Amino acid sequence: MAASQLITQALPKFYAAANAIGTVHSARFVPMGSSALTLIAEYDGTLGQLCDDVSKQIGPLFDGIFTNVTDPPPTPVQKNAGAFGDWVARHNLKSWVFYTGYPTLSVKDILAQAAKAA
Amino acid sequence: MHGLHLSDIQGFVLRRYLMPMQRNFLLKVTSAAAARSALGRMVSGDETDALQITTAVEPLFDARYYLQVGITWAGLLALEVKDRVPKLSFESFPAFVEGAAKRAEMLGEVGTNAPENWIGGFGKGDDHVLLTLFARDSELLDSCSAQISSQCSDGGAFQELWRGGGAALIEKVNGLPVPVSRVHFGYVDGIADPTIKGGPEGNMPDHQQPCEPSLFVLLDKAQDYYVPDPPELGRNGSFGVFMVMQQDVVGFENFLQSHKDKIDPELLAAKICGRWRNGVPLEISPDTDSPSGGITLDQLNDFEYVNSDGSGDPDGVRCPIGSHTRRVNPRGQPIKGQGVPGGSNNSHRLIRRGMPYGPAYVPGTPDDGIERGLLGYIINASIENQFEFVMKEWINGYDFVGASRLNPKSRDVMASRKIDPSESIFEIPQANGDPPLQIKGFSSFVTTRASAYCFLPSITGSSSPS
Repeated sequence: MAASQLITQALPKFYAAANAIGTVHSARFVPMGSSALTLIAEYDGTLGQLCDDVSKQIGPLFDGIFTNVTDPPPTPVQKNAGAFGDWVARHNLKSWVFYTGYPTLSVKDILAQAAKAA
Repeated sequence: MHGLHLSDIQGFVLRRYLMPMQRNFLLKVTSAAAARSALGRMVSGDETDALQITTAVEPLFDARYYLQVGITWAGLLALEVKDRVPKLSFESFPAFVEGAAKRAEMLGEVGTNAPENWIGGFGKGDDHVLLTLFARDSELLDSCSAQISSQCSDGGAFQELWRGGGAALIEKVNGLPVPVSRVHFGYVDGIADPTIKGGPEGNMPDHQQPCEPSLFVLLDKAQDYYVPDPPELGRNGSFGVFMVMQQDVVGFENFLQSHKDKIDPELLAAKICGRWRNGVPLEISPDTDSPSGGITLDQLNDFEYVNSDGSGDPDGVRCPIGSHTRRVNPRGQPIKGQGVPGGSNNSHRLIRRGMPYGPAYVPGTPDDGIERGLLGYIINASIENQFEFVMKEWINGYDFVGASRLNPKSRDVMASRKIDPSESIFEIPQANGDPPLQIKGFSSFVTTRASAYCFLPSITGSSSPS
């Protein structure tokens, strides 16, 4: 199945997974033409920990995406979490300039403070 | 067929034994061939030749003993298993391969808890095989121990590095000494135990969602790991984290009394644990350990912290979010790794097989200087995603609950090792929006004296390298 269809169908699970992981400020899939797909995310903690959490929470979505990808990591992602993390690290585009409006606040800080203010 | 291969799985993975005494033997392999042969004899089925490893088949009512075996990664190498199989691989289990000593710092086991202070040779590289013996009384314990010593020294197989035992605490009931399920901090323990789909029924009713068997037994159908290679070794096995945990029982009782101007000591004990010391859950009975009308055995484990509609006790007014039992088993509360109210935290559940060591301490009596604590196994298929996850995220953490997060200085009073008396805190939420009651000035009441990450092979696995 095309990646776009896979992602659209998996959206509720994707959002639920991001909530459950609890360290993701924002995440977006951005197609680059028809031959590449980027995932751009701002998150707390390390890339390794994020990949570990992603493999546990939403691994099957990436199994589907990887059927459309050249030179993918071994699947199922959930069973091959280490290899998935290594693959992501190798394919990670390093940020050149990164700005955040709240450098000291984590997702959990923000949610906790919002709950208090409500 | 959905069922589990009970005759191949070690008994204590699936069953909580009612034996009141336990002894553990830490062994170093001194002759690989003789050691492999000794292990093979323990699964041969011949009781006249050697004490046998107990399986998960329905235990005999009059069994003299139960016996279980754990092997560390260093132990597998010392047994020369690698040389005798086409491929030895535990690729999905890096924590087991690294071993407890290397993983200790990440779990907060520092200072007096650090591996360099562990007793009995644990964590020093020669901690190869752990035998755990359960028996009905001390005579049987001693006679079976003598047989084990003899079996293990045959052919120079093993050197015994350490032995340590536990025994159920004894209380007088109608004048007779009776083993009870209270542990050293005075609480009734062992109430909650996961139910496993396809597994034997537990001793106590469990109202939580049944767990997939692959959470506790290594099975090919598991979604998040590969069974270790070779499969004859890996399949139907499990992993156990063995720990000897010293408890400062005198200090704990003094601590409870020292805050009595602010809170009744028994209520403080309940808030710290999540259950009154007699086992009654705070969630069901927040004000008294003797609710009117009584409480049935079934109710002891039939409650929820946060229901699927968000109702219940999301802010911890009845049972504090930072209480020990709520931290290690959050049930339907949304937390890191499980974001849905009323959802299941099954993927991180633990099977506990521990026992007290040291005689009971009577609160209020002078400190007799005797070491007391808890020892035994925490059993799970994934040490990383179960035991270590619970330690790092839920016991040592404070922000695992999202919007109702704990004070960053909060500590699990019963289980945290890293406590600073000048700043660590235990908060008790109050009703009506009143500010929480803050308890401070306590030190750690537990110290890790030993630990080992063990593979718990199946019966097939135990005989395969011979």
